[in-house]
Amino acid sequence: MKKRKKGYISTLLYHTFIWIFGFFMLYPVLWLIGSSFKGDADIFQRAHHLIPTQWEFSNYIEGWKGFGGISFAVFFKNSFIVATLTTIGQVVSSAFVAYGFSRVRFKGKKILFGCMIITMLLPSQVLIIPQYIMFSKLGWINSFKPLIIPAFFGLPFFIFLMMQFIQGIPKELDESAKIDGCNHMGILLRIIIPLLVPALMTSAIFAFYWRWQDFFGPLLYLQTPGKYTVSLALRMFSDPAAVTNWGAMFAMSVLSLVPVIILFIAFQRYIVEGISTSGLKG
Amino acid sequence: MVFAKGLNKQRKRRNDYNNLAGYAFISPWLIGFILFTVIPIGASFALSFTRYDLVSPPKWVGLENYKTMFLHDERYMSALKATFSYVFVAVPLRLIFALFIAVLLVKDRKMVSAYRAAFYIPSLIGGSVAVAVMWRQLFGANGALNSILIELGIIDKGIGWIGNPHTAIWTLILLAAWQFGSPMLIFVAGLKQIPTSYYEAAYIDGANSWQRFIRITIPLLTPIIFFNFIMQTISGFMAFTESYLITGGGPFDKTLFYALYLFEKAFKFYDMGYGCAMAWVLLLIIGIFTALIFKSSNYWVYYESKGEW
Amino acid sequence: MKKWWGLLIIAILVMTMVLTACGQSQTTKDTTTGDQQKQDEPKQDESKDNAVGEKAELRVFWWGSQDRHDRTIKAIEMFEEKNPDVSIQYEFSGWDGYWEKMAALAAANQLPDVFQQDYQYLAQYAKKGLLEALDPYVERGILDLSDVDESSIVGGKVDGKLYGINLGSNAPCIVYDPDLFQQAGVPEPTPDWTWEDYMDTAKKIHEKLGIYADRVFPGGYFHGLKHYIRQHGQKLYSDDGTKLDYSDDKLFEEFFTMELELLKQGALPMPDERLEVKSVEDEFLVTKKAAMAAVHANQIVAMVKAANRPLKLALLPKHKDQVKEGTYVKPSQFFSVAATSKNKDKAVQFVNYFTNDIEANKVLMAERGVPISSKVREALMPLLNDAQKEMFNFMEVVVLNSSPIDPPDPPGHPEVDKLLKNLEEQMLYGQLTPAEAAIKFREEANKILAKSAQ
Repeated sequence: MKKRKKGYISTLLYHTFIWIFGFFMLYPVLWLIGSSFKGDADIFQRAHHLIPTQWEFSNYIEGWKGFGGISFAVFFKNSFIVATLTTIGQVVSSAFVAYGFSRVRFKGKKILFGCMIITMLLPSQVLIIPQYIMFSKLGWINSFKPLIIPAFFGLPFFIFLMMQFIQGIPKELDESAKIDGCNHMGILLRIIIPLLVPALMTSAIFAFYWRWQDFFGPLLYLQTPGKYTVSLALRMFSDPAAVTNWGAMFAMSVLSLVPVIILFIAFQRYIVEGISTSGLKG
Repeated sequence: MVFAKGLNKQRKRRNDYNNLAGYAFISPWLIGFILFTVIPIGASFALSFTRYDLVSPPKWVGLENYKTMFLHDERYMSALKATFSYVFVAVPLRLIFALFIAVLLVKDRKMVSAYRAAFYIPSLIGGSVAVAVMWRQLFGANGALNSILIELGIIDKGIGWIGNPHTAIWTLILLAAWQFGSPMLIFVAGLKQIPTSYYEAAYIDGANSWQRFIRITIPLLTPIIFFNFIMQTISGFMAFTESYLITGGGPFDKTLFYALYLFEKAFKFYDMGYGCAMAWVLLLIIGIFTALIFKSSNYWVYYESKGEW
Repeated sequence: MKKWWGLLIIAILVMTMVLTACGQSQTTKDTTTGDQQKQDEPKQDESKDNAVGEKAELRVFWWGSQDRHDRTIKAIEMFEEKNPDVSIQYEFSGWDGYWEKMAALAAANQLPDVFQQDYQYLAQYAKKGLLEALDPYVERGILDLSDVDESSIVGGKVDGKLYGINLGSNAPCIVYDPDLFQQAGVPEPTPDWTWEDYMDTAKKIHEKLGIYADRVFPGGYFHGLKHYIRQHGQKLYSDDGTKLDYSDDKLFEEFFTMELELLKQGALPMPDERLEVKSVEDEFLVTKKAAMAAVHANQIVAMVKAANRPLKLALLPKHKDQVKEGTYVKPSQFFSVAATSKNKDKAVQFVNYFTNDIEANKVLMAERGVPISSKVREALMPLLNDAQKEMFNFMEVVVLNSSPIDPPDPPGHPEVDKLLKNLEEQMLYGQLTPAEAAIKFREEANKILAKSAQ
């Protein structure tokens, strides 16, 4: 009897805490959503009220119209193309590379691994100009190429992340697969990948979201407005020199969050399912 | 004799196989590294010894950029100060929140996925203009925080938290802490990997939750903690968008993050050579910290599969 | 064994793909469907043959707000109708990121044929040989400046040559609310009002109405200081741009001491409150937190729209002992032609159209500032709303009460501007006295200017 009561209380406490903490966490987001339905005057003059005095759906309609005749449908499409291809490229290639670094003994590994880590340490602003010149000589400016193609060469962040996960997988599994006649590729595909699913899904979420948000890359490499991504288009809403349509900007910002959230919710399940394959040491 | 020879031959074949396989597997990264990274890195290193305004050809100036940075540039010192303060506070805060919430949200109770999504959303908004506007609104002189504090009677007049030299950097630290979603997700994935059988066995042996946490969760989580620690430190040093959008580095450079100052020098003041020099010094700084953390990992990180390293 | 051979082959294929991408780049560009206005797929190939009478292609870039984008695009389309042998690929962005992009384009020798320029960067780009000098085109008649007053043109000259065409005249000024002035019982500013008058007015407004006089001191930290120095017959920057020109640090001191006085009295807000204002609608004048706004003349249009009540324009205060007018006609922005443009004649033709074509300007509606051509101004007058009329009329007053503009800001200017901003904030927070700041400014600014002049 005592046990059940304790169970109720702790569950209640748990959910209450989460809700309160969650409210504080989400307050700014709620503010953003609320503002997207407010008229311009409302947004700043009644800032702390989350709920608008008047619900304005016009922000969404106005905002969707976009700029210079190009609606957000185009921007969203561009963002999707770039983000999806980048995600696939980065996750797949990083998995291969991570396996190589963690499970294969080869000459020069330590040095190359060091190089990879160092790559992460250089601020991108400094590599941007030489890279830009390179891409310009290749004729890739004003296309999605500089944004997508480098993705297929792995991203150190994901490589490193997956390496950490792979190193948590006992080598005995590799051994048993070898005994069954698998070579490295086989081990990778049969043993490692299935157990790496949480890391793969996490990487996919990150890859998509980072590319979706990226502003500087599109700024430099995309020239014609018809190729702009959502992140770039959003920036254009707020110009310091003129009247800004805050409501429309918030509305479009909220919309731009939707794909990422959906992706997150969809993929989240796989992270959860990872546990069922972890019952190894039985 | 014959046996030994045969064994050696086998080992050599093994090594060759491994070498080729190793390179084959990492070839995507390696090729990309050579094509897209080595050349720009080399260029930026060379440029750090020049004066380069992007338009005229670079002019060699030797160590002048580096000398100026450390001896004559007050703003550089402010940038270092601001960045270090930020990293030493924001990174631990972020990690602590991330781990705490991850642990709370790892069990499959009802609504956990929704909770996880909710806690992750702040990070999703990331470095967008909307966040900047919203944050400035929240912490502005007429913002929500002030109205709440006034209601509670803690202060009587609104403080402009963002423009105030004493509090500006805290608004940014808070922003970083608020966006703990990414390391949280990684912690969740790591927690999921720990076999439940371990917990069951410990439970049977009489361990309570706290002991299970300390003896099983933490040790098995150390590779992930290690990863998050390194990545958050690195990204902390490279923080840019927040200060760019929210405070602009102000007031008078109190929140001038290193990467922001670098960006200004390179793209606003057209001194790309100096910017490259700054980048390499940053690389050195981050490199030292990373190496320290790596070295220390021998003492506290536990891998299931020892061996490869 | 077989499997990792497969991997190597994939790697080689990838490399091949990367390398052959070079060959395709000239003829294939990513296309987007939808509402994209100008995608010139087939024209891309023809761009090399423009000498043979095919369509010439111009790239035109600008920054601005949505309003400006819509108007400019319309004007471009009208130009293409009138000039079927020219096709224009345009691109626009906000102010945010525009110059980073230009820097990247310049580094890759890919500047657009026609692009919007700003006073802060004009000298830099001109001196580095990135811009085409426009004087020969004026002589040849392609660029018609016969209806343009010299004072509107001179701002675009660097080292005596014309590098940018003023797209709209402007001036630092003070926008004020006549109604609030009346409530406070202070007289409205006249063109001759002095700093003493200003200080008086500001204090009274604060005393009587309890609001701020303004968000910033007249002219802001930079233009204000410049204005003050000019009034004493000196210049902020030396002509060659390698150092500060004015010799008397007292001027710096006096100017900022005035600002501190108002701050102490509560007539000006602290910097942290100033941050509240991110755009026109938040201006204290608009929200009635202040009775004035020290901005540029062309901003009155957006302000009146946001404030929804009549506002007026006043000159920056005169100095009772001034030897020269501090006010000047400022080009709000320019169009420049890239030195690397392959279609310079057509590019200048386009700039000429922008400047002189009446129909085009009816679409543009002086959004960038008051048009420099007197004929265009006349044609627009009947179509203006009250705020715009105020702006046009004000610029006439400016012309009568101004002295020639100083040479364009030298290459080190953006950094000096940031330095001054930091110093001003430090003064306001009491960390530096104006006297100390004056010395520091001179030291640091000279360092910056000397370095960037190399």
